[in-house]
Amino acid sequence: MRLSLADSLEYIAKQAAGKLIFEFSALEPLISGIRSGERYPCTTFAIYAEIVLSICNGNQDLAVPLLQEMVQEQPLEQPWRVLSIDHPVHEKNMARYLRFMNNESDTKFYMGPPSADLVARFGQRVMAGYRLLASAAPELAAEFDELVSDVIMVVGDDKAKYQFDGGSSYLLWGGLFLNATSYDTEVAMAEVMAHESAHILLYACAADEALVENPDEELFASPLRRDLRPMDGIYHATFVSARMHWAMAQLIRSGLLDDAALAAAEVAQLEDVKNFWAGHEVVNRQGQLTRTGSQVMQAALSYMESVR
Amino acid sequence: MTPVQLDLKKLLGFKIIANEANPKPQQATLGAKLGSKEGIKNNVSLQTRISAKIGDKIGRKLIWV
Repeated sequence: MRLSLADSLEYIAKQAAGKLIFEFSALEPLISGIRSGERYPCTTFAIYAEIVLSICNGNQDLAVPLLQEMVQEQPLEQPWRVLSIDHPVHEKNMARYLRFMNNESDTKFYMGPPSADLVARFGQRVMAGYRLLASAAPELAAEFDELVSDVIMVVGDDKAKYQFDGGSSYLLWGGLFLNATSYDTEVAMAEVMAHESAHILLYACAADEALVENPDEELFASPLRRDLRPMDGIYHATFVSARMHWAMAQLIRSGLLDDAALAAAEVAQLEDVKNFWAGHEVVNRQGQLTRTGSQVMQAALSYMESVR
Repeated sequence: MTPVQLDLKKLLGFKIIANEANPKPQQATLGAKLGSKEGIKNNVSLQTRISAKIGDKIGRKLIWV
């Protein structure tokens, strides 16, 4: 994804040189930085997407300030960071985050800043959950390091019917939004890290080819929802359930959990089993999977069959 | 201003729109899709995944929006 971003930016520079009033050589440090392994935040992907959309929408004059903004992007000093949505590095992007995170559904989610006290406590819990994951499931923790650039702490509207727990967006690739009032144990935190990073992994798997070919308008009964859902959503949920199971299995085997944490992990694992097989039945019966979609789901299926 | 021409097949995140063998009706033309009043529309390449609880009574059950 990161190398493709560098290639895409280079292509835009080539196509737009002389047509937009912008010195495209200013993008070179960022492009070469990405290619040399520097990690940029999720906003770099978002600004890139907005540049493409503005040009394709016939609003290419809007691309120039976005290109200027892109040049200001700075690489991360660590693989990923945990900050509140009102931290200076995120605050200026809040409208962008809300736009991307609310782009799909009729249900709009409020994401606001947590209190300073909540930020401190939740930030510590994220790190504790990560340390547990790193000890019990180092492979998964290493994948998290690769996939995630920003854990962004938010709170939702506690009066709303739908309580936002967490989420991610393809166009904010690497960004993981978590409700700081949720996930009050290390096991829950480790599970959500496995869960949300799995969505980010699937976005990357789908960079060249969609996972399913079912039209978005075609809705199916979802084992995970009361309402009907597109196949792509059911596919995601099914795959993610397998990954959550994988995380819980490793935590349970690790010997690192106390009795209460062990019981919580076992409950979560049972739910993951139920969700995976219910979702897989729908995908298997009605999903029109692409080659990529089949390969990715086969990996999840093989794992779940091995633990059946 | 001279129009900038972009081949979506060369662009991260947009190539699967261009690669679709049978574009969905709303994707038939990129202009129609991206120029819609709703802005960035739902699409397999332009997707968001949200986990949420429905109220408080359902407990841990997650949903994927």
